[in-house]
Amino acid sequence: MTLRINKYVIFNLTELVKNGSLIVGMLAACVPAITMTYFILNGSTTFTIKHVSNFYCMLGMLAAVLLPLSFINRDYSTKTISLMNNTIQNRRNYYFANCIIALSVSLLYAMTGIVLLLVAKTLGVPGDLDPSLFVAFSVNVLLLVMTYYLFGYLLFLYNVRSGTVYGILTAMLLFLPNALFNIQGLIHNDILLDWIENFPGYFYPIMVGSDSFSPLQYSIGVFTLSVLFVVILKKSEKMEV
Amino acid sequence: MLVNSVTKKYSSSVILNNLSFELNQGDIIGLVGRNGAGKSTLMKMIAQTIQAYDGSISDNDQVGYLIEEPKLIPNKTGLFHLTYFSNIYGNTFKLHEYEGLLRKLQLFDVLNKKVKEYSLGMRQKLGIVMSLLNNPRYIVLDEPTNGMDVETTFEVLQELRRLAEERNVGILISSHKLEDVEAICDRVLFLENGAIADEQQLRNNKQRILTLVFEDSTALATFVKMQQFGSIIHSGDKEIQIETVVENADIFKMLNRLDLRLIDFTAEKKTLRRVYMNKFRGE
Repeated sequence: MTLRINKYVIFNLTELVKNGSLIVGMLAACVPAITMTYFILNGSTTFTIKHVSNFYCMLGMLAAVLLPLSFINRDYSTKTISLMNNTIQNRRNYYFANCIIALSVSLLYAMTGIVLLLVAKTLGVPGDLDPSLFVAFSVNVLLLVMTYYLFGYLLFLYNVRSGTVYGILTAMLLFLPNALFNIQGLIHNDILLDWIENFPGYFYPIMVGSDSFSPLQYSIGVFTLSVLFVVILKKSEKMEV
Repeated sequence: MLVNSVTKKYSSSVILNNLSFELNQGDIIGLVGRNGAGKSTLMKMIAQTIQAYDGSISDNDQVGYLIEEPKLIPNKTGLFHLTYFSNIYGNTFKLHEYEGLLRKLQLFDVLNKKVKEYSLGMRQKLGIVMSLLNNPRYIVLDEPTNGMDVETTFEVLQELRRLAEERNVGILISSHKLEDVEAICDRVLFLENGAIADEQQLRNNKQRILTLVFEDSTALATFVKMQQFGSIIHSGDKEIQIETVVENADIFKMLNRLDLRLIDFTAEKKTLRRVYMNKFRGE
């Protein structure tokens, strides 16, 4: 009995739509960005298209990480994982299928973000919108979502409770970057500043919607993602449920 | 399915120790033993939810299982579980194929209720039906009749027997309810300290326990010298207890021929409960 990746992905993505969580997540992402657009168009702020993008990413990235993670949470908290974590093949398929779900959700959020930015620009929000920003935005969203998703997945594999996992991810996406930003202003050590600047927990949430990362940041990001991917794969293959 | 010399250790404690047995398709094997004897661990190894162990288990890729308690999503319906766990394994759940079974188990009418509203017995029954999905060649069930009433227990056991006979499914079942094991199993394995302490055939089991009380000890000694009917379980001054498959009539014929007089004679079927009590409690 082999777990079918395509069936698993389609069934669960349909579930996300049917149970309304995808819509709620999209609203969480879009409402702040639309509100910002409204204020910019009314001339009450001097913000630009990048601010709209940042506001979209603020809750959007959190939703994009938590939505696919809800299946891992469901399966580990109800122990239904034991119905799928049986043969090595099924363990891998389960993991790959969930990664595909996370990837699909991240692409959906990237595309929705781009559409939102295009609409905002068409309505008259100031700022440059060139294709390179769209590419950077898509890649950044994809890297961020997958990295935080895999980090959350790893916490579930170590039996961390769902409330704690969600709390940690929320803190890492919403509060830690601002804390690090404030710390940057207080320190004058270049090495430490470089460390913070190139720490994925900082540059991902801070820069995801506004600019492309530096080559070093992309390298660190890809390396972090690769390590997380392999660690979870190995852990999944061995774990007893 | 061949379980070959499997050993499972957790740090310094040995859970299963060099355990071997074979489960053929169409057979039902019972697994009996005290709590902590290693039954659930063995079942998890067969189901492959435990991967790391010494030894090997062959032909265990198509195993349906219900181990410890049914694994269900509380806010989803019974029907969702059946559909979902068929679908992700590439099958389509056809309600009409399972309608008879679901009705027998009184699950059909509650399929659209969320499982958090189910009783323990209902969850258990749903777990059993889920283990039958996707045409498994073997089924592993840990305390399957837990929380069920007598009538449903009967239905479940009957269904398992039918599966073994008609669909050639090999079934491994563990239970503390010895009557359940005795009712459907072909063979029972007694697990003690992670090893098979004994094995008992249950199907076509004609073994009985006879207690013979003789007039005097000389008669008993003569009987012991002559008897070729089975093994002695216990022997006293005038009394002897033997395990045998020989008919009572043949035993009486021999007693008459030797002119041995009995004061008392009792014969009882060798039940699993009795074997269990002998083995684990020394009664």
